[in-house]
Amino acid sequence: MTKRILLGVAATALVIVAAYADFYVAPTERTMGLIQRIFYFHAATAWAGEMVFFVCFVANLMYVWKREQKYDWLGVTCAEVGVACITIVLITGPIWAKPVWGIYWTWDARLTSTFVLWLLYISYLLLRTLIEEPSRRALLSALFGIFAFLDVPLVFFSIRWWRTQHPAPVIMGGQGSGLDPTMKKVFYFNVLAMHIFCAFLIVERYILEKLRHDVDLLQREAEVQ
Amino acid sequence: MSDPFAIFLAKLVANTLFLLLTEALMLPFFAIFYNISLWAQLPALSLVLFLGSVGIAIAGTAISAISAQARMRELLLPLLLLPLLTPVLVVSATVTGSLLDRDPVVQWKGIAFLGVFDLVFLTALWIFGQYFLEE
Amino acid sequence: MKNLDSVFAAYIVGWAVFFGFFLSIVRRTSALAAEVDRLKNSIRPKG
Repeated sequence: MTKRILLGVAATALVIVAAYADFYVAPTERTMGLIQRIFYFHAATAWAGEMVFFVCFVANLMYVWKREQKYDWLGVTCAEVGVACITIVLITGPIWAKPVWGIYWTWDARLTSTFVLWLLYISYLLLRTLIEEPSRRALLSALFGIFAFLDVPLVFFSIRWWRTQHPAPVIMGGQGSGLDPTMKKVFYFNVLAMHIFCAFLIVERYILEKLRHDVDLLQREAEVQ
Repeated sequence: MSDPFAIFLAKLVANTLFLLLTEALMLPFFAIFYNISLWAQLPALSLVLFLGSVGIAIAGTAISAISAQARMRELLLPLLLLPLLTPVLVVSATVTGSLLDRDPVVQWKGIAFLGVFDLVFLTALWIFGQYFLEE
Repeated sequence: MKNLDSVFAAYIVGWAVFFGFFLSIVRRTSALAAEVDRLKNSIRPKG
């Protein structure tokens, strides 16, 4: 219990410091000005979300292989936390875009891929509600999760091949891209903070899932008596 | 005990053939109503249509095996399938469009991509297929 | 400052989503913990 509280406090502290850094440490960007600061929160959340979905993928593989419930719990946990992250990405993105591009949305490579990613994991969660038997639900959603994750890079490359309007990648881009060193540090700190915060959410949500399982067991025991 | 992959392969072939048949029937109508000349592009067009149909069929076969075991399966199948098929739909439509527009350059990258998609999903189906059909 | 409200909106909405998600977890967890206690107590006298 204390470890949980410690993680929660650390996560909250990191996130607050990160927000402070976003506003007061990072220099103002030349062309976009103040609105660019959304980038730190937006992109860091996107990275954390993608990492969370990767953990979901691994959990799905482990479940299919080992059939241990804990992997199913981890899978649904990561899917929910991931969806929360991507929801935020899809909301903060357009908030940034309107002043900068003049439009809220465009069907370019990154936006469309992110939207499809969001749809895939919403589908994963929906699928789970439509299968009642726990072990069947765990297996089928794990299988769908595997196919969904395999699809993610394919979605991205297919749409990037199709068109591009998102600003040229600043972190892992080609020639002519790159961040001011202070901005880079602030960004990576945000990435760290968001990863720790997501870890905290994962722990709490996982415990909830385990608790659900305990309640089911106890209910069955109570019925027997 | 029949090999589960064989079952999937059979469904895959059936679905692909059905899709190809539909496309073969539609193409002449497109050529007539939209004044598109098909003959010059036919080889490349057939390739795109074939690879695209295979892609749709593979994903469809896998997802229908999942949705068949859930409630609201008629709604669930397209819901699960459509996001998954985004790469196939986007690329096939783009390449087909450029072919019908008589682009001088054939989009081999797109066609190769469809092949990659088919390969990835077919391999995934081969590895995980047996689990879909578990009792 | 130009666009300050947009930046604030982004942070507020973003953290509202995380907070809402966390809140829903906490609510469900405490409900289930209460349920666990209730079930354990109903079993104990007989067990």
